[in-house]
Amino acid sequence: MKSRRSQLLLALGVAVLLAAALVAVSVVGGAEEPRPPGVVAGADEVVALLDGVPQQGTVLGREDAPVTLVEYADIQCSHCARFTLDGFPHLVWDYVRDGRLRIELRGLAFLGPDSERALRAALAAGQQDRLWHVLDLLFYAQREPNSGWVDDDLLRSIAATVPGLDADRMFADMDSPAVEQRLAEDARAAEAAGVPGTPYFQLGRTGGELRPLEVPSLSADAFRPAIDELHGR
Amino acid sequence: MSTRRLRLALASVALAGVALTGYLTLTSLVDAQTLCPTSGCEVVLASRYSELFGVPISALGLVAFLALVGSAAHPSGAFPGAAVALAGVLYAAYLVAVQLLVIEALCTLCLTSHALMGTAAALAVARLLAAPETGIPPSV
Repeated sequence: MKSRRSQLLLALGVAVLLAAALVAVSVVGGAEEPRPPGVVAGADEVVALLDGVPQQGTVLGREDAPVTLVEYADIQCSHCARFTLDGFPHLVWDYVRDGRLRIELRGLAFLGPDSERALRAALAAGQQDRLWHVLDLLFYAQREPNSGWVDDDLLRSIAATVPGLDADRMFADMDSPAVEQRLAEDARAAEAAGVPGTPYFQLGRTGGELRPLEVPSLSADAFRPAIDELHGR
Repeated sequence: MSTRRLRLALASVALAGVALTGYLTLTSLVDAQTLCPTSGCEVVLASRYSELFGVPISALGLVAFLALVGSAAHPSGAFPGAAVALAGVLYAAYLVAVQLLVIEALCTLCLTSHALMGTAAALAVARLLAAPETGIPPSV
């Protein structure tokens, strides 16, 4: 029995060493590099992607595009960021640019205060029809949730990157009645649709019924069959 | 409880852990939504603490639970099983502290896997204390 207790103590010693090594690696590996001041990740890509694409408020693409994709997103949601970096650009190049698809944002802020501040900035940019620029750049800039990453410096840097966006007006509009109304309407729409988490998509013919779209992945290929079907292909 | 029953119980708990951490790893790798009853999972799994050099933390748990299944299957696996399970519990305690103190959100599915690791550790320690010292069944 004494020997078994010795074995237990030895196992505990090994476990402490293993766990200490794992914690040390986690602390080192989890350290986030500080954001260089004034540098906006993805600026060139986003400006090139959205150059010449019509925007109106929360809608990207031509108003008369035959198919509508609605995206429910929280700007701090990592899967939403992956969609923005992965599937979204291909959908814009392949469908939105030639007027076959319009994408509408319904912004949610359930992950915390940085979500709400980021969403307010995006919706305020939407008052100047630049929502999708700011939204995409915020996804590129995404950091540790609720670490205060959506600060004035970041928003000013992003605003300075977006062609035609008046930064002072964007800041002023973040608490405007129009933004408040949009926040409330989108939250209500999410509740009515029973949105279980983000990103969540709905797809349908523009002006018709929108149905939930379940995709196996967030790549553009996962969206193509449903979009093509609505185009009658 | 006999050593045989302890091994069976340990294998069952470890297999449940394999299923849960396997699911979490898979959803992380294919960018799927996690079926979680609270928004805490989204916050925790979106944080930088959910990955280590690009590898989901849940994959570490998956490896640990697979090792525990292996230790339960092997007659002389009592010592390595206890060492892995105790290490798992200590690391889980660190992860819970991070959720509570740093991220300030709790991931229900992650906590469930931590609880499974705690149960596995209790069973592995009980087995170690009950096991024949050589790991070979005593001759009759």
